[in-house]
Amino acid sequence: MKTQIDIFTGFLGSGKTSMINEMLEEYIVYEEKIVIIQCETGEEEIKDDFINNRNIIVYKLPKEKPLDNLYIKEIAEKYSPHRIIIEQNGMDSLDKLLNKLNHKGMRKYFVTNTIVNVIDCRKFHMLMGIVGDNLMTQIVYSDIVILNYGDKVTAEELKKIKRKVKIINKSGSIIDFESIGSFKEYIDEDRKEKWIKKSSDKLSLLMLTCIAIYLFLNIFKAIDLVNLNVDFSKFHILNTIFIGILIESFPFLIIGVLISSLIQIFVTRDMIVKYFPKNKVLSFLMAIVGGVFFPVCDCAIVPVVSRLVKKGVPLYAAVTFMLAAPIVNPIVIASTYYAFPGQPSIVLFRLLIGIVVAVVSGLIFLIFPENEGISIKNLDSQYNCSCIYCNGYRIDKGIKGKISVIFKHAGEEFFDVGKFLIIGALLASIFQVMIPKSILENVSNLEVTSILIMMIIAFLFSVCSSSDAFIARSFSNQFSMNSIMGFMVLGPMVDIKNLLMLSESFNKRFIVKLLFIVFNIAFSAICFFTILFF
Amino acid sequence: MRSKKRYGINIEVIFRLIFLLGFTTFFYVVIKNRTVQYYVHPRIIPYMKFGIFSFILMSLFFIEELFKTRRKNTRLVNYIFFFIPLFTSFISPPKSINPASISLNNINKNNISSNSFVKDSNIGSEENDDIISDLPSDKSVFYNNIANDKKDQLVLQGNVIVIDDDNFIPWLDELYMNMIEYEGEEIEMIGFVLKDSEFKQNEFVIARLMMVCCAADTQAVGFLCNYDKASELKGDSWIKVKGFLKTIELNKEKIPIIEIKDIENIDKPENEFIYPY
Repeated sequence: MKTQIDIFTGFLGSGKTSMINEMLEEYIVYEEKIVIIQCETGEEEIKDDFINNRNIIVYKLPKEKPLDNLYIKEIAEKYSPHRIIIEQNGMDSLDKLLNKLNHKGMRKYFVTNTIVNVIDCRKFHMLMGIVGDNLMTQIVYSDIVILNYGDKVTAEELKKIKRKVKIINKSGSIIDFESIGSFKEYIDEDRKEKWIKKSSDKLSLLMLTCIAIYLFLNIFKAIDLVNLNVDFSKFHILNTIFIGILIESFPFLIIGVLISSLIQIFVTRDMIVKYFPKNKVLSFLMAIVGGVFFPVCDCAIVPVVSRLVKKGVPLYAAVTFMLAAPIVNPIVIASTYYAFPGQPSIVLFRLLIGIVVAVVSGLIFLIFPENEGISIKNLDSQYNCSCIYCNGYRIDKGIKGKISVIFKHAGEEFFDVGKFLIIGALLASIFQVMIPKSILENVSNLEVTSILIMMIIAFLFSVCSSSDAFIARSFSNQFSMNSIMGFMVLGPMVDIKNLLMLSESFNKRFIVKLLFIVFNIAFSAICFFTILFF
Repeated sequence: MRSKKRYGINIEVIFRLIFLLGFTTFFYVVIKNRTVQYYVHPRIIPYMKFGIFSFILMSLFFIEELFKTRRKNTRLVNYIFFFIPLFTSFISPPKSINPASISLNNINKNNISSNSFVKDSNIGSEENDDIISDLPSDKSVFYNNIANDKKDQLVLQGNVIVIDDDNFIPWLDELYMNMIEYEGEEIEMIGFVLKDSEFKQNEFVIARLMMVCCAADTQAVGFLCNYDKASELKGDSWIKVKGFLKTIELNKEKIPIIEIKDIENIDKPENEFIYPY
């Protein structure tokens, strides 16, 4: 049997040793042979009862000696323990340790079992500021995060910490140590149960769903299809539209996440601070011109913008960039021109209104700034991203390592954002199939209502910005030009698909605010232009 | 902590590999079978190839993570979302969409002319006069200028307007715009039969599906036809028509109509779609 390795992480004084004591107390009854390797010693010591127990061996790692595989192997050979508990120095990289344990030679004999992170609530924020990098890594990898001294801070503070930990580590158990009586209870019962809930349950759920759908389909086929023809064809269209949107946007999403990873790895926060124009006018200009050089679909822009904001680009500039790019992008201009041949004024108006809306929205975010720390998830450690591959990157530099990290990070982000893209595409295709076009015909003669309706349709349908001009054209007989303009201006800026994708990195408040601002400004701008020009 | 079962491999990475390779396979299969045309414009195919390439690269890099049991703790339930498209795309193979049931921009009498490429009358209302007045007053001259390349395709073959996949859109625009000029000309084209409850007994639309980018923006475009035995035609069936062009007034708007002379049933063409660009 392989030796289990448990790792306790946490900074000096967070209470790792007390936790180990606590744990040993509960598990001494199992009479396992346990070796404890302490990489740092604080005030607390392993209790004498345990030290005298013949099943428990305590090793204190000398300060200058690094914990390496040879050392662990030696110990294992000497005692052949069931379990090795490593109490890691909080300043050491957990990542490195895990990499070592993952080494081929080690995997044969050891299995990394549980990683526990002990956090001193009183020092959480302070540590996040100084060694956020390390702390994040510890939390990310942990199966259990123990919040120690939770009673020493206010309830609100504790809640805040819990929330932050939850954002970094989505599935680990977070235990407020003061509020539970016994450690054992929690780990033994609850944890076991949770583990089942975590994956095998979900896997079986997935299986069951598959089987159910398969069965359903078979039954469906068996029943006289002619009678159900209508429903089936609707599903068929829905699916074709859904898959069509996805096939079209996946490549662009990949481009987006690849650019985002490139930024993540090659652009540092300092570079942004240094080179990003201090002049507000210049930065707006840059945001708009940036869009011209970014000729991709609007779904590629979301990961890039999120990354830029995380890297320290001011929010107002990022918002302007995000809103302007899908409209000033050359492909979109070309397709608008194709859709309305001989009417360059439409292209011009679309560009003009688009830029106005983008700039004004940016200005609003400049005048009424959002707290970036709140708006953006995962901003805690100012320069770090919570994905594990980027942390690994610090270890293996070099071209090969970098390329590998770029792709892994891109893959990570693809799965993070892609989830929202899929939901968005599904919703958009449902709306396309379900909303009867006859509704449109009835409202088309009402001026203001029709502008609003067209804007809402643009939002719900989430048609790619490079093709929405053609859709707009097909409405041109029933709707006035200004409502079509509403469709073409709002559509690329905010739609269901993009907003969902944004929610991966931004909080709800920010997204709702963005939606309101853009919607209002686009509407006002169009009314304004109508009075002025039409 | 009692011994807890822990797999030697990283489940999350397995999921990722499954989905990355699943999407790769799906992209490959639809391109290979040419079913891709039901989903997206052929112009997207190079992007899809880029997608395949990136998916494979990502999978390769993820493979080395497979045996690293260290993991970021995420909810595996997230991956269900990736399962949806893979599943639906495989269970519901891309047959041709039943055109008549496309609800997006379903053609009917009220909007048939709106599906033409360029409007023959002022767009919408008089409010647009400013825009229009920017343009040369003689619209056909102006149109010739901006679409010369398209105009080249508009050649009559022995006094017959023969519309095929390549010149469908230019002809559609031309005929809707300058219908008077072409009144009485003979026309020949293929398309599918599109019927709507609002149509009269002797009317149907010969239509094609136009795709700009992907299935989400597919629209039916075509001409209204006048045919005695229109009621005998089966909706969605593919036909080749010959006839003469006329104009009729519909909802205070003139639109071209084909007076059918001859109809024959044909097989569905290899590519049902036409592309504006």
